[in-house]
Amino acid sequence: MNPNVESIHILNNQMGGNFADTFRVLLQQIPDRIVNVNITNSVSTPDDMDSFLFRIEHVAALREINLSGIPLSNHACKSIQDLLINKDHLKDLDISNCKI
Amino acid sequence: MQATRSIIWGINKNYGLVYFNFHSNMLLSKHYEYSILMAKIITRHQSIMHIDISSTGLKKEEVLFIGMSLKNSKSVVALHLSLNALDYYERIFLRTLVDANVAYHFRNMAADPRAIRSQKERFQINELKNHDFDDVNLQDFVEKWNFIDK
Repeated sequence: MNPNVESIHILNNQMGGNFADTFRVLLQQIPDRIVNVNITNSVSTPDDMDSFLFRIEHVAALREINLSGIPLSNHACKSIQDLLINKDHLKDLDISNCKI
Repeated sequence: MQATRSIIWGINKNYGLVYFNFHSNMLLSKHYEYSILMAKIITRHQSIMHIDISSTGLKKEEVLFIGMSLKNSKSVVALHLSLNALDYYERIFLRTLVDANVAYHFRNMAADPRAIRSQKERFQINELKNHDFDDVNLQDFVEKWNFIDK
């Protein structure tokens, strides 16, 4: 992935089950300067979501996260809580319709 | 419920968030835990401007409580409370409590910002608002008017 990418939008895709590899490739390639991650309605497994949240927790530049429509586990919500507490520069959080 | 608790506590301890969308999740709590926290967030958060807690299973008293906290907010400019347990007259009650202005006189138009599509429609709506049809003579005239032959 181009290291200059600042925004990733992957909407309404299958990234769980047979497509989990897609998600893992994405995960490995998230550049450190990413500002906006939008994976609305992109189904993933709970383990993949945990890995994803762990990865973006270490992205310093992150400003916007959109996880709308993705079912979130208790563990994922705890990770989001850590994001909220530790990342003062996070401006936009969309977790609508996440079956919380 | 632990998931909701994590998120709401995270927002409560957060500095810097501007936009928070929690639409279609659950804020239901027997002991009003989350509505109390939401009101606390609205009154104390220094930067949050937009909060969407539509369709979160809030009870009437919880919606009123959260709505009333708006008056003491430092930063919130938009608070979405749709699809919770508040009927039309209770919404009017809440608007009165917080001195809110009604942006749309026709309540069904609020859902669709493109409801008025032309200047002609704007004139038609303004004409409807002028209460000409309250006049008994005019009503009588319209009722007796023979639309078929004319």
